[in-house]
Amino acid sequence: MPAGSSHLSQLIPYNAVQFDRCMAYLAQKWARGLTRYDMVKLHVMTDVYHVLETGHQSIGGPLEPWNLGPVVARSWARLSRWERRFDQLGEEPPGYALGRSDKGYTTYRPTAAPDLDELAASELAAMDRAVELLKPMSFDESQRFFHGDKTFMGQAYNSARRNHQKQISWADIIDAYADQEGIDLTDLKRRLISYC
Amino acid sequence: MQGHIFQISRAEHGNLPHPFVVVLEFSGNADCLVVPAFSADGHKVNDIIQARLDEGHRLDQIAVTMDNAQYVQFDTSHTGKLAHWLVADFDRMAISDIRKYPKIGSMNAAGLKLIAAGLLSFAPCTYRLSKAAQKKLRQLAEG
Repeated sequence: MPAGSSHLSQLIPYNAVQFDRCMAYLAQKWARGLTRYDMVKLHVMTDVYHVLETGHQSIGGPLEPWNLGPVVARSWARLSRWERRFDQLGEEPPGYALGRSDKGYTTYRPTAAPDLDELAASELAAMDRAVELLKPMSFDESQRFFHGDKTFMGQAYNSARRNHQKQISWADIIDAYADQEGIDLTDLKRRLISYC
Repeated sequence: MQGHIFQISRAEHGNLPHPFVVVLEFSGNADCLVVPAFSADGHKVNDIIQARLDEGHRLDQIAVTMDNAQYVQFDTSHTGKLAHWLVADFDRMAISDIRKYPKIGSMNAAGLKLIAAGLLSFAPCTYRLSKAAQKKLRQLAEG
């Protein structure tokens, strides 16, 4: 579906293969085990920055306005399933070594090095921006970024909550970012395509 | 899956135009590249093309315009129409997800070569194609 619907919220379905490919790179940049919260937020911001640059998601899935902030539900559910199996059976998912953080959260370390030939330069740039944004933030700062009306993500998130939308609109994210940066992203919005 | 064409149509699309996609599958990967297409006379697809032109791209970098009757073998009652295949707007999707859509036909080798060449024509304008994808596309375009 081409652009034209202001509620365009998913461009491509969640791609678990690409999620794992990206996490191998992101974990290396993050330089410590990633929690489920870290991973879903890195996923969100990788896709946000990638859409803002190219008009295309990298990992995919709709961003839902959860109490926890924007989350791709399939991403969260997959990680939750892994954590249950690890807690109950001690099983680790393929490609990840699980552990515990100081605070008792489950942490993930991809077991393979990132395959840089399979990742596009646009994806590496989006992931770099996501890490630079999120890594210095405490949990509270992260929550303020995703919920506060002073940030472009918070504005798009709050618009979805106020309008009782199940998913955050890409048009709202793009508009809020364009306003914040004082740039025109009209052409980018015109050419959004959804396969969903 | 190589060259298979799927119809991307769901109830929530309503009367809005929806694309069909051709799959470029590369061995060893659990996901694939998909290139969307719309009938050439559609308003929205032409608006997408115009947006790219307004951004400064050349038409041959944006879309491959193809008479599907020559390049696509349909499994269904679809008839081949002139279509814009939006090579600049390729995406990457899990093979398991693309299989959920109805397959409506297959593109022949000559069509796939044109698509691969179109993607490579756009490659210098974008950072969205990985090194591995570019290498495999070159093999497809030259094969």
